[in-house]
Amino acid sequence: MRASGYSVTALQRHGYVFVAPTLILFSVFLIYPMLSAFDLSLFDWNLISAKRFVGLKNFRLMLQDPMVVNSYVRTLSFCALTVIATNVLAFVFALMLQSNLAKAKNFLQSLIFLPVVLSLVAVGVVWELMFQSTGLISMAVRSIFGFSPAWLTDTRAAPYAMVIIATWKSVGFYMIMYIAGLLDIPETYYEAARIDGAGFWRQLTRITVPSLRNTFVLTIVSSIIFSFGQFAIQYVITKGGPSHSTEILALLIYRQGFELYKFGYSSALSVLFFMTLLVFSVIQLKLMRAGE
Amino acid sequence: MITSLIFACAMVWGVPKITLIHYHWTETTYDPIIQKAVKAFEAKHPNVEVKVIFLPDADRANVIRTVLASKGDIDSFALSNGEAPEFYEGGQMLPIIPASFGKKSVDDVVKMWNPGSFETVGAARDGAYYGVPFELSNFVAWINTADMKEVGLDPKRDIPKTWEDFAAVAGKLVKKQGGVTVRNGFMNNSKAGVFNVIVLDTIMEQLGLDWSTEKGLLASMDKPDVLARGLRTYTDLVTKSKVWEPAFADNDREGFGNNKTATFMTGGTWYWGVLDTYSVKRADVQPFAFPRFKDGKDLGGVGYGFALFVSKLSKHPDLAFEFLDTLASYPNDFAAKGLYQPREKLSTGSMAIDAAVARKSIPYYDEVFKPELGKTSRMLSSTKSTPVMDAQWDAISRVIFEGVSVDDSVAKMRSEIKAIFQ
Repeated sequence: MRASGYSVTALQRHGYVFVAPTLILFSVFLIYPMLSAFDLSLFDWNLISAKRFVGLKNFRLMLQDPMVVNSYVRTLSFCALTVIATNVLAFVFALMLQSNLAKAKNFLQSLIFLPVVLSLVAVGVVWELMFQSTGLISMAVRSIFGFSPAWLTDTRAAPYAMVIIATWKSVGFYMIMYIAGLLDIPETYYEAARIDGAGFWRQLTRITVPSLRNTFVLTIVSSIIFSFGQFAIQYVITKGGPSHSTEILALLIYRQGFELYKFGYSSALSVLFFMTLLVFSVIQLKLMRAGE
Repeated sequence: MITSLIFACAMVWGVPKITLIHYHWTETTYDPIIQKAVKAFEAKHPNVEVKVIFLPDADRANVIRTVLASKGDIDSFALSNGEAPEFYEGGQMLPIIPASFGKKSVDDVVKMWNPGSFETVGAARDGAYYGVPFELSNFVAWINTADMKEVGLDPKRDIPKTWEDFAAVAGKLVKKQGGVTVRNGFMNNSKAGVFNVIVLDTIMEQLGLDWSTEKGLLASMDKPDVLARGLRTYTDLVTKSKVWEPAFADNDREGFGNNKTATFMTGGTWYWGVLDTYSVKRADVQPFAFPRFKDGKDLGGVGYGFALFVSKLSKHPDLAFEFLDTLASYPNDFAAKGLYQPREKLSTGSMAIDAAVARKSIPYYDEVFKPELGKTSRMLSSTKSTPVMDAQWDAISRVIFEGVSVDDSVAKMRSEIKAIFQ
């Protein structure tokens, strides 16, 4: 018998070689910029004058800045509404498309998934036109209800317009995740339930929902993280207006850096952003491990 | 033959090629003129290659900042008078080198341009000269005369002269179908605050406030009644006379060009070239002087400009200034497309701008643009311009988007602006 040419140590060394390119790219384009942002948050800098060390001043200002409070609240509200709407709709679509009664399932699945693959900027431009007072949405709402809100220029309506667009854009993605979860549930469970006389709601609450626990955790936490980091829709359509009513945290970070040239303060805000997402990620990990 | 070969090699390898990199905004109407200037300069300097980095105007200042911060390759760049102060503060520009213009002194260079133009376009600071004036513009009001005739107004007689007239005329020009606005009487950009602040600034200066200096701006914060009158004059166009429905369209320049609004107020001479890319015809358009207050100062729209600067990072500042001189030597080409450059003489001594070209190429140049250029209002040009403008736009936004009262909005603006200068 020939002696093996590989020891465990050699295998490990080869493993590092394979992982190295990704690790290097990750370090250069993710870790290093992140650490730089932490460092920059301790300075006052507009890129063209000398950097000035200010310690924790940016963080102190952040806690007192009403714009930051407004942005944080707006972000949490946008996040909550989008997550609820997206996940409820995605779950309902998944149930409908997995039902034996549904016709043309593949076509409908593709149709619902289509917005996911569209460019966010293109989506923003088209929806902006639709939301204008003579746009499709406003005309349709007016014809049904007799009036239409000023979707993009009323501070009460604009945040909901953003939720509608974000939900429309992402519901297809989560629908696919729910469909995958549903396919994983053995059909025998439902057969046994039907034999025992369980109707649709009982099957849903006693079999489907408990079996999809991990899928729910994954989709809900993923959608929280994704919607918390939303930027493009608000940037393209409202630029945070009207009157800061759609100025979510990512947009505030951008404005502070690239419009007000306060890169130190902007970095401090991005640290807050990072910490918030870190909390959500840790919760997701704990919930998924508990599910195992 | 061998000698020719050696000579050719020396030409290619012996003389090192110098590359100059210039950052400029892109505008399809004017880019070919810049390319023409580049070719002329390269023909004069065969060992120099000029690369012009054309950028969308909204990104230009940020890209320039990033290049300067990373000490990248940059020899010269274009900035507006509003953008220049922060760059001056950072010591990013070099003072003018007279020899690059073929002159002995800076004064001789300055005399080649209209008096006062260096200061207006931000090319001078604290008595020293850094930039080359490239554009001098002033905002005037614009009206669609075809729309006027449609509603029974006479373009010869009914052009508004006061803010009250303006609201009345704009009110007649509003068009609705089924209760929905399909043409605004007036509109401004409802997403970008700067265009609204341009108009508000003019109104405030007409009311006697000095919003062009930090000291004057702060002093004006102690005159809440005047501030309220100025803010109300502007916001009433939305909330009271309802000549502007922000939900209908958001971009005034595009809106005017496509007849979504009958008037707007943020176009200079250059707008003629922009208008040609839209559906409204030049023949149906007339610029006019900004409205005035009966009891206010005789001031027109904001005057502003762009200058070309040589970066402190430039390895060939003398050549870079010479290139900028060349770039600013085509005022007639630019005037033919509607862009006014305040240059009187070229470095060769010959006349720069031909007034007849300006008159022929810029409609209403003598009747509107030139007289108004002599009495422009000015915006704040300081390192705190951007946060101040934010506070001013917030004041407008609170009234027109949130329904806050003018007095409450003024009170908040006063505290925000005072806090900026603390």
